[in-house]
Amino acid sequence: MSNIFKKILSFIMVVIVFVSCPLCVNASEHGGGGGTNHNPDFITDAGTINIQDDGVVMYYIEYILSQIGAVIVDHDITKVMANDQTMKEYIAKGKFDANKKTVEFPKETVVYVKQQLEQYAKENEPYTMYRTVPLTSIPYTAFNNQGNVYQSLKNLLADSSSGVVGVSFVLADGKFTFTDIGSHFKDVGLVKHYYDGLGYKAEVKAYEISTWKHATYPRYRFTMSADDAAIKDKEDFIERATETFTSYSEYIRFICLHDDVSIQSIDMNVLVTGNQVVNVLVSSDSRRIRVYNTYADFQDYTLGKRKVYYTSNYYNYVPEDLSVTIDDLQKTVDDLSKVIDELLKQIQDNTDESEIEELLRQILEALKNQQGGGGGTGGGDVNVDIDLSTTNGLLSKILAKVTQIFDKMSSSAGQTMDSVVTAIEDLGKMLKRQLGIISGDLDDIKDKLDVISEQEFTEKTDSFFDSTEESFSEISEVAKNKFPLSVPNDLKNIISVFTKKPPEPETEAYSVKGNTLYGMSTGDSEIIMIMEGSETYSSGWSDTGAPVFNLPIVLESLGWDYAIVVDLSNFGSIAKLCRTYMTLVYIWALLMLTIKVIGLWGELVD
Amino acid sequence: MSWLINLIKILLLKMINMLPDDPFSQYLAELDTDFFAYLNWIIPLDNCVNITIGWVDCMLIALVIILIKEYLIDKAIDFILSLTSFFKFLV
Repeated sequence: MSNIFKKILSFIMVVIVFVSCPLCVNASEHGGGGGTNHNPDFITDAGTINIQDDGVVMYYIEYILSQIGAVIVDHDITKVMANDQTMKEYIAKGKFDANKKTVEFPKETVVYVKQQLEQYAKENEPYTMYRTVPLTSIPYTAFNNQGNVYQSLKNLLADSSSGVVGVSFVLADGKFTFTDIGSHFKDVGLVKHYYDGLGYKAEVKAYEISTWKHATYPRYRFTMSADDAAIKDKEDFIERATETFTSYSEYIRFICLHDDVSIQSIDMNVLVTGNQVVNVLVSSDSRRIRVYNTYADFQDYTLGKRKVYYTSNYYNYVPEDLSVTIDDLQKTVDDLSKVIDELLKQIQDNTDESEIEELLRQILEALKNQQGGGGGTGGGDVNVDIDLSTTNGLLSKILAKVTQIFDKMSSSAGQTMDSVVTAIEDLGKMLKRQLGIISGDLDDIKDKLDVISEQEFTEKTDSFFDSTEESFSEISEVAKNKFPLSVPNDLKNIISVFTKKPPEPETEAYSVKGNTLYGMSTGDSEIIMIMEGSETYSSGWSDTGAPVFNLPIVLESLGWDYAIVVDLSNFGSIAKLCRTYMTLVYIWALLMLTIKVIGLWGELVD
Repeated sequence: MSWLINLIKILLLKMINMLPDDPFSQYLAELDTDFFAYLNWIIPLDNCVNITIGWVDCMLIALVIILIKEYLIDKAIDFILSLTSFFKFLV
């Protein structure tokens, strides 16, 4: 069983080897070492771009050109470019990122490649692309300062199927000649024709593509005065034309004043001086037209021998750095031949250059999207639906619906949202204004503090604190009488009751007056006395600071009016001793308590 | 700035006036406490109260110091001792 397996495997490998040989040969025209793995051939072992192999360099060049907007049909062009040492040096400026497997070309490389292509095109292409004259660039003086002439031209342009009309102006007598070349533009090839007579530098002749004969068209002339109404369209012009000519082949002369036969920047002021009659191709969007270098080039082109195709992006391309993976680069270049095949299927002999550019751009975009989105489908046929009108219509409807829904949402909630947003904005402005005022005040304070002296500062702060204290003392006075804020004050009052001190001995609060009927003494003074006239005695303090108590005995029925007076003056020293001793005992007790409490705290904390 | 202080004062007064009156002050004011002076002539309650107030203040300060000592200084001493023992180990 394993032997059969080995045989089958060997057979498959042989088939693969033999099949891949032609592919290798084909690939070597562009570069690469054959097989399916081109990456090592694009990048050297040192991680740099391989510029030794011209085929690889061609790949790089064609990729860059495709990104610029030019597709090379004739690979001899890129072969010549790749053989150039300076080109190789520019290609070598690309950097390879081994992690991402990408190559990045700097802007200068892209610029150089574009320049080289333009140089080649100038030297080898059978035609040159020129811009028609945009209507907006024509000075008003060319219209004989008549607005109706300008309006007429504008209307004719709008009516033209190709967007290009051939017109001529005669300044002196307001003649306005119109040639309906626009509708036949697709059938005409313009060829440079150098004509030295009459002071013209060069001119362009038109030839019919199908017959290669000189093209002939009717031309119409109308002399428009300032009062005439503007021409509405081609039919109106033909109807109102005062002269009708059948143009000769030489008529279709579109004068180019520049040495390089450029129609890009015709100086209309020079054209319309005096009685000079010139014909110019005017368009609304200054689109490009082909002008063949020679008649033979024109013939070759009609036989499909074009070497380079440009997209509409080519002329407006802004150089920038290009970054691409090796696989995408190879895939893009390999698919370009299919792109050209697809393009050639779509275009016909009378396809306008601008249409060709647009077609090619769309094909390349589709290819890019395929490669970016598909991933594994690279290398397949390139099928592009050029007619995007259905898709565009559908997208337009979707856009309209979404816009409608959004408008509905915003109209209902928009007002609320707008008002909220407006309110927030107003709030923000107000806060900003207030913050500005506050910061301004702070700046004023800072400035004043900078100039104030220390003494002034001290006086001001003291007065400030005094006034603050005075203000808050009123609050404390009120708070003392309000429960529960009054509780501390009540506790203080209770404690203060116990702290009433006996008066000093010098204070005389009491003096004995009257007769002593009976007295009991223990020394110098009597302790208990019975005095006559209770009203003359009252409780108080003796002159030695001892308390004296008065107990009145009044019996009116018996006629008794006596007072028993107890004077403790003789016990003054005993009272002093008692107070001192009790104070000491109390202090000692507190000390003992302190030790116990601190010890207890220590245990609690531990 | 004074307007701010006045404003605060007015606000606080308004808030405080919303509280009820103290019920104890009236009765405390009516008490006849003169005899405490006579009592203090023999038993020094006035001295004892003053001593007690001072003692309570001192005890509170001592409590704060004890707490600081326990939760800051003892921890620092333990940390220093641990470093010392670490260096001893190295040596």
